[in-house]
Amino acid sequence: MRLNSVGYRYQRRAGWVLRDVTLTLAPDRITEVTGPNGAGKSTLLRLLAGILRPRLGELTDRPARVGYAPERFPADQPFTVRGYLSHMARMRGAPDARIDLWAERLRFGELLDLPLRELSKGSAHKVGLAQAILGDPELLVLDEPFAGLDAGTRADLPALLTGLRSGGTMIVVSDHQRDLRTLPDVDRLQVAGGTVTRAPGAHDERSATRTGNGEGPVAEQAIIEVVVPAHQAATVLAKLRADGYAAREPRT
Amino acid sequence: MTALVRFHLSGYVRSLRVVQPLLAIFLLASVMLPNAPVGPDRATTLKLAVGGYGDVAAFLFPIWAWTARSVLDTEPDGQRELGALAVGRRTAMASGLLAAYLVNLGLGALTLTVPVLQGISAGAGWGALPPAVVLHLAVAVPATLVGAWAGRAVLPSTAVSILVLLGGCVVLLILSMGPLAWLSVPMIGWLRAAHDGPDALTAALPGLVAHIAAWSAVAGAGYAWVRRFRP
Repeated sequence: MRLNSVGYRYQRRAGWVLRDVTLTLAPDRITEVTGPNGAGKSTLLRLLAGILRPRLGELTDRPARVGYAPERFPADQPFTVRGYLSHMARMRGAPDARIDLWAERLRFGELLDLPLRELSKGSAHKVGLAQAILGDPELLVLDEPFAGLDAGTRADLPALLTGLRSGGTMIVVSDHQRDLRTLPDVDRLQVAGGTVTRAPGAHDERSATRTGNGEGPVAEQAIIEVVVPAHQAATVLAKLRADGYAAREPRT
Repeated sequence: MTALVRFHLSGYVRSLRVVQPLLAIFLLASVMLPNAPVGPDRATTLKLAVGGYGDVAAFLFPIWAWTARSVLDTEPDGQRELGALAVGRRTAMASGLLAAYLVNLGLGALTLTVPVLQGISAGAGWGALPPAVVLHLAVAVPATLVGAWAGRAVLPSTAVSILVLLGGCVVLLILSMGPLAWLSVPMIGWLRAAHDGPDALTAALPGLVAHIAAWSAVAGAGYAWVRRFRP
C-alpha cells in the first residue's frame, strides 16, 4: 500500500493536518505509528483505513478487506455485545462462530449477552477490537488498541497481532504507550509537524531490546490452536508450559 | 447491503425512535381522518377518497423526512464509519437510504389503512388504491432524501439540521405553489390531481412520478457528492 504526496485537512479553509506524506507500507508487517497528541496519528490511520479520503495526493493498493478499531468504540448502540457482533459479522460475511473465538481470545466471553451501553470503557474497547478482527481483514488498523485494556489482554495483544501478521494481515497500530516496543520486525512511523517520517525500526533497536532474562532479542510470536482429548488437556498444557510457552485453556 | 439494512432497521426499532413517527401518524389519523369520505353518489365518494389519499401523501412528507433523518442518525458517527468499512462507502450510504425508505413505506402503509378502510366502507371500492399506492411509493423517495440531507452525516449541528429539515419542507411546499414548481417536489400538483378524482390522478401520475424521479435524482446525486468527504 502506498501513499503518494497525501495531504488532508478537515475543512476547506482549515490548516493541513497532514501534508505531502509519501510512504509505502509493506504487506505482512506491523507498523507502529507514534507521535505527540494532536499530531495527526488518528487522521493518518483513518486515511489508511479508507474512512477519510485524501484531499491531496493518492493512496493506492489498499487491500480490499479492512478492519478498523477506533480509539473510542461507539458503544451507545441498542444491541447486546453478541447482537452487535453478529450484525458486524454478517456485514463482513464472517461466520458467527468467530464471535465466540475472538471474545475468548480478547477475554470478554462472559460479556457477550450484556448490552453495549453497560460495558466499561475497556470492555467496549475489546468489542471494538473484535469487530475489526472478525472479518479476517487483509489490512488491520488499530487506533490505540492498548488503551483501557486489562493487564491480561494487554499482555496477550502483541502475540495476537503477531499471529495475525503471520497469517498475512498487514497491521498498522498507533501506540501511545509503546506496548509494541518489544516486538521484533516492527516498522515505525513518527507523525509530527504535519509530516510522517520513518522512525528507527525494531530491527534497528533489536540489539538494545532484550528479553527479560537478557538472553537475546524477542522472537516473533504466533498463536496456534491445539485440539486434544479433554482428559489430556491438563497434561498438554503442563508440557507446553514446561517448555516455556504461554499456554492457557479457553474459558467456558 | 442486506446486512447493513437489517442493522439500521434493528437499531432503529430497538432504540424506540420508531415510536416518534408512530405517534405522529396516529395523531394524523385521529385528527385529520375522522370522517369517512361520503358523497351523494359513488363517483363523488370516490373523488373524495382519492383526494384524501393525496392529502395523506402531503401530510406524510414532513413526517417521512423526519423519520429518515432519525433512522440515519440512530447509529453513532463512529459506527457509520465502521459500517462503511465493512460493506463499502457507497453501499453503506445506499443501505442507510434504503432502510429509511423501507421504514417510511411501513409508516405510509399504516397511515393509508384508515382512509382506505373508510373509502371501502363508504363504497369507493379498491379502484382508486393503485394510483394512490404508486403516488406514496414515489413521494416517499424525495421525503427520505430531504431527511438524509438533514442527517448528522451532512449537518453535524442538531439545530441547523432541524432548521434545514423543517425549512426545507416549507420551502418545497411554497415553491410547488408558484411558477418555480418545477424546482420543487410537485406537492400541489398531486394534491390538485387527487382532488380532481381518480381519473385525473391516474392521468397525471406518469408526469408526477417523472417529476419526482428527476427531483430525487438531483437530490440523491447531490447527497452522494456531499458525502464524499463526510464519512
